[in-house]
Amino acid sequence: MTTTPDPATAAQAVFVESAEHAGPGEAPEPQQQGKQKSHGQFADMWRRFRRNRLAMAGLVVVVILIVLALLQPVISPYDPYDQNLLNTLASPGGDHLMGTDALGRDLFSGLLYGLRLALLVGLLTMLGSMTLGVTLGALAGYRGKIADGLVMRTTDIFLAFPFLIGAILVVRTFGTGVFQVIIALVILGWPTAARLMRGQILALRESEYVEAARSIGASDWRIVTRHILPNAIQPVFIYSFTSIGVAVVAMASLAYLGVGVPPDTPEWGRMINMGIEQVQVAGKDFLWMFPSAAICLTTLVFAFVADGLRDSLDPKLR
Amino acid sequence: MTAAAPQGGLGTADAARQPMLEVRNLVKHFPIRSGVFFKRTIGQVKAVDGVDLNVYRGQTVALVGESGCGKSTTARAILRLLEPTAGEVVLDGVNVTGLGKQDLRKARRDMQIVFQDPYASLNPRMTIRQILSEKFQLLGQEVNRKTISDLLDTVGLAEEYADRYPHEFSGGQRQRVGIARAIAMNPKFIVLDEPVSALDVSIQAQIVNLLEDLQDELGLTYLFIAHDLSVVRHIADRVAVMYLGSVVEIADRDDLFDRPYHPYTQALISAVPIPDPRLERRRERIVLRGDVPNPANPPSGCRFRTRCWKFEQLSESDQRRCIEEPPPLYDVGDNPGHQASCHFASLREVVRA
Amino acid sequence: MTGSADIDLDGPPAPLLEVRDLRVHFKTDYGTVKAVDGVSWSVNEGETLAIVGESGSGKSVSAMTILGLVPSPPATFPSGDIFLRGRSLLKMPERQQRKLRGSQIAMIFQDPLTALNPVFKVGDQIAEMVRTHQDVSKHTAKKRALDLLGEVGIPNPAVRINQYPHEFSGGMRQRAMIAMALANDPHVLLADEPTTALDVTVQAQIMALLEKLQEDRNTAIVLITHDLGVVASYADRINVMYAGRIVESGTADEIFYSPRHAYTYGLLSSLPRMDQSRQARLQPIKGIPPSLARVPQGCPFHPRCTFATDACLPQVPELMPVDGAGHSAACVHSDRVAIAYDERVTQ
Repeated sequence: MTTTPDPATAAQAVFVESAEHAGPGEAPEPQQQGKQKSHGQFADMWRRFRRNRLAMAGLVVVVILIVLALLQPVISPYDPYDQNLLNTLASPGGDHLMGTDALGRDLFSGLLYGLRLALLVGLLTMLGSMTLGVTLGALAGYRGKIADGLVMRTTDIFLAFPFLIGAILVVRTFGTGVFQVIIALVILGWPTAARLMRGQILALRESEYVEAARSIGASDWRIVTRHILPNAIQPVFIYSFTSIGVAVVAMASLAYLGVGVPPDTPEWGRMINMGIEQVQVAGKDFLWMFPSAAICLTTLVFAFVADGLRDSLDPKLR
Repeated sequence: MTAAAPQGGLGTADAARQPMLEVRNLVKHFPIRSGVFFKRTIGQVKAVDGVDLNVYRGQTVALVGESGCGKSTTARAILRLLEPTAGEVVLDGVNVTGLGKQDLRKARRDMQIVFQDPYASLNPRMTIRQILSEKFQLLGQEVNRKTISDLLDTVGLAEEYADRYPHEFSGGQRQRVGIARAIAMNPKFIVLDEPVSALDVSIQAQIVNLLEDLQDELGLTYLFIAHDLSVVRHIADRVAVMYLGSVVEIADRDDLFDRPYHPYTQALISAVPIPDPRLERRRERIVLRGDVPNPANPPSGCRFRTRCWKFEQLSESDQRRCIEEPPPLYDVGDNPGHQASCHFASLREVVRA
Repeated sequence: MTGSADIDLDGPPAPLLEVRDLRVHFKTDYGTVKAVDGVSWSVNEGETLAIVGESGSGKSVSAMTILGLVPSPPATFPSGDIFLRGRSLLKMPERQQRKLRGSQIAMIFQDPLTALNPVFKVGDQIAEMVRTHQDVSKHTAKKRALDLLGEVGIPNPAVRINQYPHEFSGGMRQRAMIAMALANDPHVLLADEPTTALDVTVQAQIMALLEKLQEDRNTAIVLITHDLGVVASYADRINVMYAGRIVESGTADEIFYSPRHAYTYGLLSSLPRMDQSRQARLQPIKGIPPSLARVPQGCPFHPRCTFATDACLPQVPELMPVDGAGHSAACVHSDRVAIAYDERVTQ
């Protein structure tokens, strides 16, 4: 019946919508247009991701940033802690690619160290708040009743706190240090993830395919792990990816305010703070500009990648 | 349909047999809750309020009515996808309402459901093979390549696409997958919850034919939930009309369509347009007033009285009877098994007039 | 707009609304989707024209184009024009077009919730619609909204006017949307699946309302639907669409009693009928509708057609007159279809 000899047509004329068992090629499947033969789920995701140019650019930069952070001990031209009081506030160029600060420390080495720190805090915060949020959100959503009431009212309390004030309180309680900052950010980050997760679960719990799973005798555990979680987790995952950038900014804000990491740590927020002090000195704006740019870049590229992930994780989008 | 399918009704042959499915006084109320921490119940939505139903082996009984009448809730309560508030469901001698968790899971082998929306009833992250295999695994039966390919073949799909995801299929094809999942492992009884209403006209007939073929081949018993009365007239042996949580009329198919007795049934049938312009020009529609009342607070007496066209024509004392006394299902018409819950039921031709 | 200025008294009487050789294409990753590919139709005062088709047939797109609801890009319009009383809508300045849309031509959608804004009172939305196109005071507009709500059969309009859309039931929302569409006494109502989301008894209410309004106001109605029962009851003329084209056009009687296109024939044979006791078996159309990005060459229906021969392949059949003045079909085998249908009916 098919008259077009085009191989693509033959390939997509996959299913046969006929009780009469008509032969393949009978009717092209409308949703199959332009698709080649079968393909894995990941190949499909990658194909959808690549279509988003901004996300692709973001991904390239993210990979470069991660490589730089990993290679930091090797490629760092100076020890970021090394002071050289004979060469303070050197302009960019020459021996020091991005100049030196008021204590004569190499700014580029400091930025690299700060990058390592930022990515570490960002990723661990994301993992921590996602794990906590997904678990508690799923519990609240699927169990309902008292669990739901408890979890949701707790998130209300946490979300009611202004973020920075909350973070300062937590860090003050636990003391100074990178680990303490991560704890603070996780404590403040999980409620949003939990709420998202709960909303997803509530919607999916009523979906027909979950009902279908129950109709064939699936247990609660199986329904949650096999049918609800894989479909519910995607928006939470995307949110968490964006939250990496938020964590980077938050840590920098804390450090800028002098909270969190120890004062002499080469951390972007600290560096901006110290740079601002030199703002009166003509031509030394680079001191706060470089770390600010680093924060902007990191936040943006993770947001771009999150955006691309949203498209690529949606099996309905093609 | 072929001779293999018994004609419906409570004829002499039927009366001697045990029904495949027996539903006795089924009730499903949904509590209306309010409160911040601990929810208080402040009312009940009476979605299903005392439904009785018999379905005989190999028969198709249709449950029809408009949105909110409780037909889907009834079906889900029968399958215990929703826990019934009260009542009894007996499937082939097994009291489903009394089963514990483990036994219920085993009983699911015998009672299945095909859902309305083929886009929502398949897990988007599982392949067709995974979706179909899951049932065998859960209900404890070996599954291999051939099982799945035979199953797909039965519903008119080619096996080579078993490893694809639902979104790669059209609506009709997905519905075939949903049907395959339901008929796997030879269930005795299947609920068809509006299985064709989300499909295009030209595809509907394909699925209706498939369902009929499967019933003949596998001797299936169907409870067909629908709002499209044309499909019901084609596929059902017996029809029960629901309004606001109760069955208001039940009869064999031709009795119901050609000789309806309840004013609601008459209005419902008269409202369905028939694809025949000359017939339509002479048909008279019974246009009902207003909307369906809130099932949390249904009218006293006869629930249909607030919209009933006949109620308006009654004398005041007769009207008081409608308001005060809930009508039971009276035997009506000449044929056995025809019942209508109206104090003033009378025949009115509405299909061709 | 005053009526007299628009009517060309010298020339031949122009139809109230006419669509001529309209093409609406969408560029996508998977090729050009030809949603509407050379469609012409017209409608007159007091007339109901039905556009019938399945999902993906392009049946709604021409109406959406009339109202300027098709965003471009991605849409392109390779050809076509739209005439209101003989005046080209597309050649008018943008501002004038917008003025005509909503006042002269109004649309009713399948889902009233998409057309009604959830955060404004229903009465205010209707009054706003009045004031967009007429220079009247707020008070007058509100009064008009009240009248309209009463006219479309909403009980207690004085109370309802101050309620929000979510306080209305589905049927009431549809009535409110009709009231909004009527706000400026349009000459043409485009109704896109106006009752698909509603129950049959409510559908009967809404269709009765539309019929009454048409009688009172002599409005032209373009009824876009997939429901052949609704079409049989309410349409004067019918265009059957398949894969972005009109494949058959005629009066309701012509389409239902002497179909001349194999697709129309197939649709009618596949329908279960409520007025007939169980038919032996439904006759489905095999296969599924084609994607509009890859319409089969020649007659787009031929891969699913039981009448198809090699004659269907070389080119797309043109819509040709069959019998009767207005009855036309784009089918090479229209004679065979006619014979087959007669045989089927007499059986």
